[in-house]
Amino acid sequence: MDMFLYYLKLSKHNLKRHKLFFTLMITTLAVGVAVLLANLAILRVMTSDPIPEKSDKIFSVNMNAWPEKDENISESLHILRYRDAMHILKSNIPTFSIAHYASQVYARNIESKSLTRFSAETRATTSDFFELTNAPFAFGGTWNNENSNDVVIGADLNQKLFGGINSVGKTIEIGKQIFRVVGVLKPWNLKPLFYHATERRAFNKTDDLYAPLETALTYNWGISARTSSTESFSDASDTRAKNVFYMQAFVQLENAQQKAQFQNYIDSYSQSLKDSGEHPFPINNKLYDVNQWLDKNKVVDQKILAFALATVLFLAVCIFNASSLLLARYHSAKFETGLRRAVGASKKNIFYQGAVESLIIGSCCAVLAIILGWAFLKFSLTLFPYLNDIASFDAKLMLLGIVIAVSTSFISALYPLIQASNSSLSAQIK
Amino acid sequence: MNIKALLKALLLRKFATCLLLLQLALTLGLVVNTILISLDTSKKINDPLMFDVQNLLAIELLPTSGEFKEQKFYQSITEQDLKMLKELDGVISTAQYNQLPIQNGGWNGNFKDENTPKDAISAKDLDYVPIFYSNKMGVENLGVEIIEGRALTKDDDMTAAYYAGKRDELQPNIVITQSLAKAVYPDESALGKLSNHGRIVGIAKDFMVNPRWQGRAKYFAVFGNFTFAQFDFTQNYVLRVEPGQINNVKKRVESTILAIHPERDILDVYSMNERHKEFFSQETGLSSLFTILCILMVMVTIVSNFAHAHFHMSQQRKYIGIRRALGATKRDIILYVFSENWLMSLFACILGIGTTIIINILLSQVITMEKPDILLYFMAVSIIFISGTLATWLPAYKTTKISPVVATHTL
Repeated sequence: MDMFLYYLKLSKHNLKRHKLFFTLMITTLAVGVAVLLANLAILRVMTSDPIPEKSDKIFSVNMNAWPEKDENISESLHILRYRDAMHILKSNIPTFSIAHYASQVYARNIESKSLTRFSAETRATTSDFFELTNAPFAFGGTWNNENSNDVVIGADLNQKLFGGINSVGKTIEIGKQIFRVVGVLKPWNLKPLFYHATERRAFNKTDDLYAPLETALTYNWGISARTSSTESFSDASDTRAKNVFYMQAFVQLENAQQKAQFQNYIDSYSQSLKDSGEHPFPINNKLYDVNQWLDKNKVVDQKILAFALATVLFLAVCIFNASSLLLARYHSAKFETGLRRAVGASKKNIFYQGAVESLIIGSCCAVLAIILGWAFLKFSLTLFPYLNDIASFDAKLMLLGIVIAVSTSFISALYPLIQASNSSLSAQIK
Repeated sequence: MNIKALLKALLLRKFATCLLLLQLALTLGLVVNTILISLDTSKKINDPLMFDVQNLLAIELLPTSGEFKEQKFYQSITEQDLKMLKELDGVISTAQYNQLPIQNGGWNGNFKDENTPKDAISAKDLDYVPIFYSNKMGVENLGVEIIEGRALTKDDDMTAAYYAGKRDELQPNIVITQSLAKAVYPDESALGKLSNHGRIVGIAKDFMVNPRWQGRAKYFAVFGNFTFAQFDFTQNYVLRVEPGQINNVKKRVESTILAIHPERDILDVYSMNERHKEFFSQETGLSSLFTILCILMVMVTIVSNFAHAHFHMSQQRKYIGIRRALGATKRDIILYVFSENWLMSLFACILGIGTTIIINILLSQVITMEKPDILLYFMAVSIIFISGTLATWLPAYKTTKISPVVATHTL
């Protein structure tokens, strides 16, 4: 311990003596770490598993049921027809199965004196949606009847409509229809939004309103995501009987056997379509688990990934720079090192002293890197406003920053230190 | 200049020299690729739009009341909106659109001649042709000319027939763009032909519809005269205004619309120019990030160059002193220091070819990258040479101060 304190004192003295030199070195290292850190703040959320407890059990169902051969769509698609989705829901192989589509409505608290309607991102889905996605309920629960006017609302909308109280049993008006709130969710932060990872929506907020699929279709709530069709349709309810592809289906399958059974189930459905001449392409149905699905949809912004690559290179350059600076410093301190060796310091001692010095440099660098990293992240967000909700500069990231800063400082000091501590004693004191 | 002596001197500090070389090579690689990204971005942004982008104001809105489910009501409000907006000072014309040019995704359909055999394979870009529904002003309002045939008129309005449930019997008149006409009817005039979207009565001059698509598909568009009034579908209005009037008109848009019927959510009001900027914001963002990183990297390299020269010179004080004592002039010494830096830069340039290519390959795994060319490489090389020379200036100047007497100190 005494030695450690002595080394600390010695390093402090050194740092003070070569102020410009160490400032240059710490600043360049800190800038390198900061840029990387700002990037990690974004990438960490983008690459995270949104539902780690069962991401390997939830599957996006993709089918290639396009009924016409003259189109260029032969690969399997995540968008399905109403009837395909219904067939999936009918199966009792999965633990939970859901179908959904994205919509948008305007809702008003019926008791409110104000006529203002609040925009609500809407998920028209089936009642198992909440079980499958582990959506957290604050009050109430899901609906029991797929044709009822019962809805579940998110925390944000509950705040806007009812001031955040337990609003179960309250009524809201949407497009002249009356709906009853049966459930209210807690604030639900799901990133990436695996249940709708397509159409650049992977980092959208979770929905404001969840309504039974059949009810939404009956009231013609518009489809606000990718819709492809081989025939024209006039409104949402019209899509039940037509070749309109827009619905997404997810299933929860507990093991490989269940997965194989379910694959078989959808394949034989496709075969039956083929037999009736409605399936011109070879059957190619796919089940992607959550992480495969996010990979397939490239939810990690490729531009940020490209920049991450550049920041790693930049950090490497900063380390090289620090390393060559240190090497030069140890060279110029040869005499001093020789003297310390002559009065009894071992090679080990010299090395430890250098390591303590690099620890101090690393710590200074960490503090600066966290400040600069935060600033750089703020700046990046002005260039990419859509990342605002994605980036998070939290304690974990700061810790990571400290680890990176200290280790880069140590890496850059390693070779110069070995060199310095290995110099022969006789050469120095000559 | 004795290159051999220089090399020997550099070899004295193998590790530091290698580090600096690697650093210079990496910087070179990044500079070249950053220039590539920036050039590509500016090429995309400067792709001519060929419509009146400077003088268009767009409004996105949605009705919030169930009343608008009644199509006739919705349509009459739309008509009133457009009429009142047109009366605003500085507004030349107005029209509603189901979608706007310069966007991702959108309302697209396949486009073919009605007599195309069912099993014929069409070009892939003809499967996603943007379909615009607007009023008779639709094309002109964007500042796009009709170059053949005629514009749509009020007699071409298919709204009434569509909502009367006769959509399957409809054979509306449509206007298509030049590129689309050429793609579907390469050897003959498209005028008068019957397509799966209706009869072609006019051909509009090409304009930029989707800048992210490749080649001719950028300019594909079909226009029909149809007031699409669906309660839950975002309505777009575009106002063509007199030059310089965008901001004046913008201020009055919201109140004008809400005065006609308040139960609407005005989602956004912006100029077409802003839309274009916003469309490429990610590309410009990325190229700014790369440029900043590049500047930082060049700065770090300058620090390294400076430090390298500085410490190398202090290490060689004795030799320089001897050289001075043996008759080398100050000029010779300065040249010696610079030559060392230039030699380093030269080696780095050779290594840099490799790093440039590697970085380019790595980046193109995640984003589309152009291939680097020689001219760009020389541009980057000159940046490295200039920054290296600047960084060496001070140490070089200092070495001239080394007096020949130094030579005698340690002998």
